[in-house]
Amino acid sequence: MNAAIFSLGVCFVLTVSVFGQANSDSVAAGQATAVENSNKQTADATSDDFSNPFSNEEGITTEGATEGVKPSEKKEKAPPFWYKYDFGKKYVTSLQKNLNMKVSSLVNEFKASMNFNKAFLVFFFSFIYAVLHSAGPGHGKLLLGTYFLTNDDVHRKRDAAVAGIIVSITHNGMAVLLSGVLYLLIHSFGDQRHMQEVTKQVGGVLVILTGLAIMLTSVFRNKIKFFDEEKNAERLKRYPFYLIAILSGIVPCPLAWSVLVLCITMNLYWLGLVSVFGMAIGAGITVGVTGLIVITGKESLFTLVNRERAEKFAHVLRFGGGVFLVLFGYLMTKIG
Amino acid sequence: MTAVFFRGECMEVSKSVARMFYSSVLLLYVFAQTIFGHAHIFIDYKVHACINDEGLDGVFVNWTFDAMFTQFVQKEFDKDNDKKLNKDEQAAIFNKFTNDHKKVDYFAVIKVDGKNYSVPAPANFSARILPENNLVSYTFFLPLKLKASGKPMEVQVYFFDAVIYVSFTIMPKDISIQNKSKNIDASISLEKGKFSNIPTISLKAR
Repeated sequence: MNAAIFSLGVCFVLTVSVFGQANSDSVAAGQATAVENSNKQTADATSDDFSNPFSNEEGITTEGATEGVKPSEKKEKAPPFWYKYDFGKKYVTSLQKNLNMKVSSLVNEFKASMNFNKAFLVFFFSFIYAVLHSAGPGHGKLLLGTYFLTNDDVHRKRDAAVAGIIVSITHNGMAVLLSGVLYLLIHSFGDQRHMQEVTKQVGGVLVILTGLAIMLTSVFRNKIKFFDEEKNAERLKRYPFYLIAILSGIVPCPLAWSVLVLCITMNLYWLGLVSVFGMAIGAGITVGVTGLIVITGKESLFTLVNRERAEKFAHVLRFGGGVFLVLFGYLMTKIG
Repeated sequence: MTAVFFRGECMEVSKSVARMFYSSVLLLYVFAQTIFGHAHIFIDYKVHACINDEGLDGVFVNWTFDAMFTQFVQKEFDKDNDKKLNKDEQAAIFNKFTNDHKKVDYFAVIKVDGKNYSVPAPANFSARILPENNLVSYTFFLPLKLKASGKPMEVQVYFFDAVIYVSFTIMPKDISIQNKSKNIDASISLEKGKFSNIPTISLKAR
């Protein structure tokens, strides 16, 4: 089983790399070549009025725009340290850009031809796009993966599939709900990034509360009578799982949001839903496979230690998982 | 005993070792996902450096958005639906542009001889829908007013989103220079940076 999942993971990574490479000529070319434009076009002009090479239109001028720049003490906002290593990131970004363009052009082609083969292609490429896109950071995988890794309540492989379904429904459903309802109500799509920040903050608070609950129950589980009854314990320990799965997808999918905006503006709301459906399946598969990988990996690691140690280890992991969720929730509310 | 393939060779190892090997690789895969790019908005940008007798007066910048974001801008701001952005619509876009991006310095990074410089407020902002591909494009000028001296100066102006929500791409064809001074030698090139390609302007007074 491990071997099968491992192969699946490797296949996915290879597919990403190969397709990315095939579609990233432009980026690669951009980095391989440094073009030098010398000042051969030196003119006799003495005027400081430069012509705008990109637009003939007169722009909007702002106050203070004529001031020059000064050295800044501000530190450059750096991405995570691993970002400086490529690891195929440029290929994947380039491939996503191409898929973004592909879906957009297919929607346009459908609008022009009303050929339903194009609608199927929109579904297909949305699915591929989402599989790849949701393999990147976010989309609830870290939250869910941490919960799977640190909680002994979730160990069945079926849970991974359930989590994938719940996350894809909430993640994409929120996008449909917010963009669709907002558009129907106020005829505006609102501010996508602001909406995401708000939902992240609400989600962050709920994640903190869940983390605290997990920490408390891991410490006091043996001391609370309620947990002594097997039925209660069995029922209760499933709640955090469902809650975490829902919270993992609470931030609306920006990708689904974008494609909905594209389709709604073309009066093709149903095609937007078709595309989002393809994305939901794709994201669900990625999240489910990630969960499966974590559960399988955890099972394998637990077989390496004896039972007594495994139980102690699981107890510590559960408490640690609660701490991590509190920190994660805090970061969600702060970083946005 | 079970078989493990490693660097093309089949090795026989105990089951627990094999499990540990697979698990480590799988867990590594899970956490390695965070290394992937994760952009939601794609912007192709261009940089045009303007040199006057003083030095680097500034750079004209052009952002061209992807088709999906283009639709968002059109729907939100092209109120008369004429596929053109008039002055009022452009002013509304500029408001949103400054409100959203001022706190992140408009995603711009300016370095002079490797040292970070402040990012000025963009001037001469204009937004339009390109007739050739119907994509929305923003153009603005970043006034730098950097004086050239006899010592060579290297100025880097590039765009980068640290949270990787927006992906900025620049190609060799997208850099250019306009030198109006006979007293200054200037050139522009695209250097390979740590995170992205970096337009680099070199200038020196004669």
